[in-house]
Amino acid sequence: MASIGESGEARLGDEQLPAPGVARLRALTSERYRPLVVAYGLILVILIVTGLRHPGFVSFDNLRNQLVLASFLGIAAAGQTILILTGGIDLSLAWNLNFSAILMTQLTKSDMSAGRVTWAIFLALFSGCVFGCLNGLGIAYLRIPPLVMTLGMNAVLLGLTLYYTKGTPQGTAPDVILRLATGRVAGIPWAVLLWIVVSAVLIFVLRRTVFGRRLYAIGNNVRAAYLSGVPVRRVLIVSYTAAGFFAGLTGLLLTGYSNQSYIRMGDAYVLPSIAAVVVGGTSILGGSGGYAGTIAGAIIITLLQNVLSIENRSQADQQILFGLIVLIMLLIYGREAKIRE
Amino acid sequence: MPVLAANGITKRFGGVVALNGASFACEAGEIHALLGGNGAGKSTLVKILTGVQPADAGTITLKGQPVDFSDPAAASAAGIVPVFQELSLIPDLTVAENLFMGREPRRFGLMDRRAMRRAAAELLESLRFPPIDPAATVRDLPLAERQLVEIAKAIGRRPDVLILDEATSALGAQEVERVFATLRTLREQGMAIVFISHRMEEVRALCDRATIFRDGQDVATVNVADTDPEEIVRLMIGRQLEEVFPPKPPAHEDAPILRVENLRWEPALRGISLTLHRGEILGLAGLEGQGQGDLLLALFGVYAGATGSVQVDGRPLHLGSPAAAMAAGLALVPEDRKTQGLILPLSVRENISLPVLPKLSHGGVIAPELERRTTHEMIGRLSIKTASSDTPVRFLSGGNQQKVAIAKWLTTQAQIYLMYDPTRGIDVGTKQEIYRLMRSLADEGRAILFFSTDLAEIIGLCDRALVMYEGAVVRELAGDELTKEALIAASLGMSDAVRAQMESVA
Repeated sequence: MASIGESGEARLGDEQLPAPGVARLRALTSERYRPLVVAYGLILVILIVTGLRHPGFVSFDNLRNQLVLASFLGIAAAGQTILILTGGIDLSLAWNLNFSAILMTQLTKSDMSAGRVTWAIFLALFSGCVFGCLNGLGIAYLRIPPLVMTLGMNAVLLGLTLYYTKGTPQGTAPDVILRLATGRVAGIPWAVLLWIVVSAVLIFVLRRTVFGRRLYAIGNNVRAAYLSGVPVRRVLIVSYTAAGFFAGLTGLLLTGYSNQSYIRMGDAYVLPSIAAVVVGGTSILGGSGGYAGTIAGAIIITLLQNVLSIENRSQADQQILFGLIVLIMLLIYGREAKIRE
Repeated sequence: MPVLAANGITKRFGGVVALNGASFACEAGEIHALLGGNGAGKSTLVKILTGVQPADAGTITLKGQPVDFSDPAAASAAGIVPVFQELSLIPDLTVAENLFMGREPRRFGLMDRRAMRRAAAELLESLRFPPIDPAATVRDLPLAERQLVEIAKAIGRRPDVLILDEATSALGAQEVERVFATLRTLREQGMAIVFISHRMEEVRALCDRATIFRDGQDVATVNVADTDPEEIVRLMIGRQLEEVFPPKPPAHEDAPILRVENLRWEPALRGISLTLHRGEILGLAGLEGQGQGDLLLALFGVYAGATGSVQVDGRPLHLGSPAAAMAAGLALVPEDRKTQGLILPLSVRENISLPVLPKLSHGGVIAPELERRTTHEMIGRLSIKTASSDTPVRFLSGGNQQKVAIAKWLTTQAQIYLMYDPTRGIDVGTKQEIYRLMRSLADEGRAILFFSTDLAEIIGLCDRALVMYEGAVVRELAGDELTKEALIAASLGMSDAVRAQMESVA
């Protein structure tokens, strides 16, 4: 093939970069990684400031316990991260996870045999996927805005849950779920291990796979992505299905943690899951960010909840704080984007 | 005394020096061109003159007074009003509402729609533009009419200095002529007009003087009428230009690679039939908005309701989705590279690899080495100037962005390239590179179907051209028939009979 122009003019900067160590240092302070540096730095600040006031806060036991709680939020926010990257959002998280949880306990309330438990867990996760998939279908084919579609689905799931339980859910968590949420292996909570696996898989998928690359393309410019042959509908449906799966998984973990399912158990996770994503530096408009930031975000939100309860602050203060965090983070990152333009 | 003068303007963006002590002065009652390749600093100078960006050093004087604009509104209030290539109109408002944005006629404290509509009609008429309904919603207007509204909006503010930055690049020849007539009148009334265009013909037809920029400095100011175009081009690029268009090979007799029959998508496409051969560059001509863009989009599978038969290499192609069109070997370089062709925040690498990701991956996992190699090959082949393959595309100049928008399709080994005005708004040097690239693609046995608003491109590049008018192909021109006169006549929908009559009179 003929080369055009003076090929000598093409500057492939990769070859011009300084030594790898310097380059990496520079990369860490670059715009792309700044939110990550800020988020992980914030964790340190919270630990130091609160640790000085309340030494018990930084005890091994407390931190390990906080990490378990953070893993629940982190897994709920995994789905949220995927969707926010596409420019969407999941408001059906609350009742999707609740319905999954209740499905599992109801199905096993009179029969805790291994076969029954396996079936119940499968069905609970599958239910999460199905309602996620329905969200995706509505958004991809009927072009319903994600905010409206998932809010509507949330109400439908609420109604289904009430029908199914007649208002009082029954049953307890099967052993395996109990162990997953509260047990440890070699001192490390199973839930944290599960979170590490989820994180590794998700970070790999977002950074290294065709699917991940397409998520970013859609989130940045759905039109250009479509004109580049990206199967936009398929990617969206898979994304919402995956988010439904993570909602279901969170439902099972929360059931194991309190050894029961109950009405409104997911309500406390919707805004915090969104907060974890934006605190971690993912743009609420989609297209930039990633799960490494969300991990930090989930830890920050969980630690802040812990700080507030140590400081004896009311539920009202918590709600105001999370609302403000989301708005302030949007303000900070939004402004940065504007300055860069 | 010049009405507007800039002295020793310097501007840096990070490590890049965009302007390095550039100076420029414009008199009242003159049309003054700013010329230069992409990255020469013209656009940056305009942004500084209009308060969009502050200068790092240098002074600006307006009517003898030193000025320092904090924002575009301040510059506009002082009498400097720009029109940019990127449109500033609000799509969901009417033409009238856009024209009087921020200075709406009021009555009892409320907006007086009737007065505004009347004033808009008067303004449009006084400019002698083609008729545009002031009550029409801007979203519904074709791009060229939107651009005219944009120009009218600026003129309506009665500026001392009107700056047109690539403001005519979306217009067809007819509309350009009308705008020029208006600008000449404004010049006689004493307005200073700064004109930036990549179309040399426009500069020669319109401008009194020209200041030529290269590498962030003004290299010369010349009287346009006394200067050869070759001399101006030489000043712009600092070297002699070769033949503008690559030579055309003899005609081909191969079997068609693309055969379209009776393609319809009412009302934009009204039964289009065409054939395209391997090794051929087929031009789509005609005034802008006659269905050329819709034809390319329909062939690429974007319009679900399109009917008709399309065959690629003898095999029927179902017009279902871009993905299906790509699988059949088609590629689309769309009209707007910023919103359709590219994903600006993503890197050069991510943009180039997007259409071809499945081929650069194993089991859904991208092979980083393969992706990097493919990207670097494209950066080298098209001489894309970028700091690195990881640089976001939005940091590249317009010409280099366009190269990326084309490069992404070279990776897919596409056989049929659909291109919508691929050289719009880019500098002469890059244009030539793109011409040579198009010819080399054709020589490799691929085929190109492309629309251009620049008649010289159609004539210089194409083996054959189809002239479209109101959603139909009204004329096919090949070989010696392919002349400016023939293209324009067909573009205006003149029938053969009328044309024969005219010719016999002449």
